[in-house]
Amino acid sequence: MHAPMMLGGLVMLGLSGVAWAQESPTVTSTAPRPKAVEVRIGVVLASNTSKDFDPRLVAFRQQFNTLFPYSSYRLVKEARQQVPWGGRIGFDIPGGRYLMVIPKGFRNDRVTMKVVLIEGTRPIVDTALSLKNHGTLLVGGPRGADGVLILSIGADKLE
Amino acid sequence: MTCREAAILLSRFVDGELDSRQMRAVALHSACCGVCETEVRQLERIQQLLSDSVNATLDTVDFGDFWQRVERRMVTTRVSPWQRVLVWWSQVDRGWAIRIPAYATAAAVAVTAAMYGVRFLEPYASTVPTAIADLSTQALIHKLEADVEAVTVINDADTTVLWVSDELSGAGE
Repeated sequence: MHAPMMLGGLVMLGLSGVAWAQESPTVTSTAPRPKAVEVRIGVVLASNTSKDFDPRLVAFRQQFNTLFPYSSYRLVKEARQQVPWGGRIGFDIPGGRYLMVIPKGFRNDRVTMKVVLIEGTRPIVDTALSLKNHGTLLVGGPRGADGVLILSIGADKLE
Repeated sequence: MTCREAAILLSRFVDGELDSRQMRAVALHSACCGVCETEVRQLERIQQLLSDSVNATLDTVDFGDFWQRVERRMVTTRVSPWQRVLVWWSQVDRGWAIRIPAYATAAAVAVTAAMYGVRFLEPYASTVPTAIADLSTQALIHKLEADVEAVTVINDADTTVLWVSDELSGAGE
């Protein structure tokens, strides 16, 4: 079969499946979208007001001490959420900020995602990236009370 | 944002194609508007069904002998050595006797310049911190837009950091 014909056939098959699904009330009322990825979000307040290190952040101790010039790290907020590909996670960050994570797909052991950090109505960071499965991205710099905020964003593909 | 304004953007919202301001506006609107939220969920459902349908069909297609079938259709033509010589002679440029010395001189100048360039650039290259701008370690940044003074990308051995530098950030706290 020629490639254009094959592609056309696939598209037609896909569209017919969609049409069938829309006509069938039983499909729309059951089978929620399968969760594909678990997104981990943490908000850490880093400062030099003390030397306390939150024990919940022990996995980050080495990275924090290597990368950032702060003596105290405290986890102030944490969330985990399972979402399908294309789903969205909205997360309120202290200081009137809002973090949106949209996992888009999985390829070469990497989770492709869009990350948007908004402060008020101003988008501070708008990025598209691919993160190693089970990896973590840190977004730091927004000011918090007596320090700066470091956001940890991780993704674990669900089997 | 009104439902009418949101309705125009919902499809691109589901595809994640809106810019961040529009995305936030639609997200906030749909969070408190049942009609638009239902519309978003239906669009997500359609997107998922389409994706599942195409993927399921692709799984059933056997590409195992694809290249064998392509190779069978490829035609190999035998060309004798004498024919190759004739073709080469018909295509050869007779101006080579003039151009070769010019090309050789240009090449020598280019190589000399490159060697000097490398020697001059080496000290400057070594001062660039290796932890910055190496995007291959963990997170691969495909697109980065920011409405701040600067965003620095730092790659540790295990972690990628986007460091936001902005005097205005958190000024209201």
